[in-house]
Amino acid sequence: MGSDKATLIVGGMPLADRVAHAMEAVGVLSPFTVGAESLESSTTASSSLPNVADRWPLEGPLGGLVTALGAPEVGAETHILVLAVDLPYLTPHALAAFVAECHDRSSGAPETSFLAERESGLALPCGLWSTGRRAGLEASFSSGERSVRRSLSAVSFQAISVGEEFRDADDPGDMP
Amino acid sequence: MSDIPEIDIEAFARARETTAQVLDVREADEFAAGRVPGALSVPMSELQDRVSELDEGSEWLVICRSGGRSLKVCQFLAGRGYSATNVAGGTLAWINSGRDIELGS
Repeated sequence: MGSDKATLIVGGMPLADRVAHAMEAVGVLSPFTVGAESLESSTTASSSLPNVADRWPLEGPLGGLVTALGAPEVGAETHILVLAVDLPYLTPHALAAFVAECHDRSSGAPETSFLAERESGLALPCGLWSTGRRAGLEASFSSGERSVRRSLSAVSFQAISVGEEFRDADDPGDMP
Repeated sequence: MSDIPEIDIEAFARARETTAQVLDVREADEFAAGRVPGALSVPMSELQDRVSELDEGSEWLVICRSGGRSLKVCQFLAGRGYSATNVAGGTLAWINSGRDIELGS
């Protein structure tokens, strides 16, 4: 895209804030971003959300995912909801449906992750990820892997069908 | 229910006098605005990267603004084998108790 997608204004607010709004609407109490550390404060210049410094900045989404799963902000949660910042079509309703499906399946399955799947395939990194599987993903990263998709052998997961609300934005033409 | 030990500000004041160390997990600007004297500053947002700075053999008394963030940090540290106790009420409670504070970075 040529710029930080989190900073792009869509519908009057940064993309990251749009996603955060959907998360808060479905009950996520303390959303945070994972990204390069802000020079000014822990709040990204592009969003109102607190930012957790990516342990491996500019090394791709797998490092960001591992950072999120291990962040102190997670507390004792068995799962965390992870979404990409560039989901311009995401609505609270679509996210609520996804989360509800995950919760229906996650009871008694703390080690299973639940990943969003569009018609075109898994909408990584979007999903309800098991924090218990962080070590396996980190081991994949440490071995040199940078792709979340190629690291899925390190986790046990179920795919949850979602609609185009989970479509991400790779270039300006993808924006509404 | 959390399994993390928690102490009130009076017990914290006594514990400080032992070999326990105080970890303040607020952000740098909060820390500079007033803190428990002698507290080590490691913001929660940086802790995952800096946890190796903490002595694993020490008893850590973890404090934030009011006790919320510090509880999560205690859970994080406990999961990594550290001994961590949450300070209920946080720095606000310390300040309200009328005890000395440090200022500045």
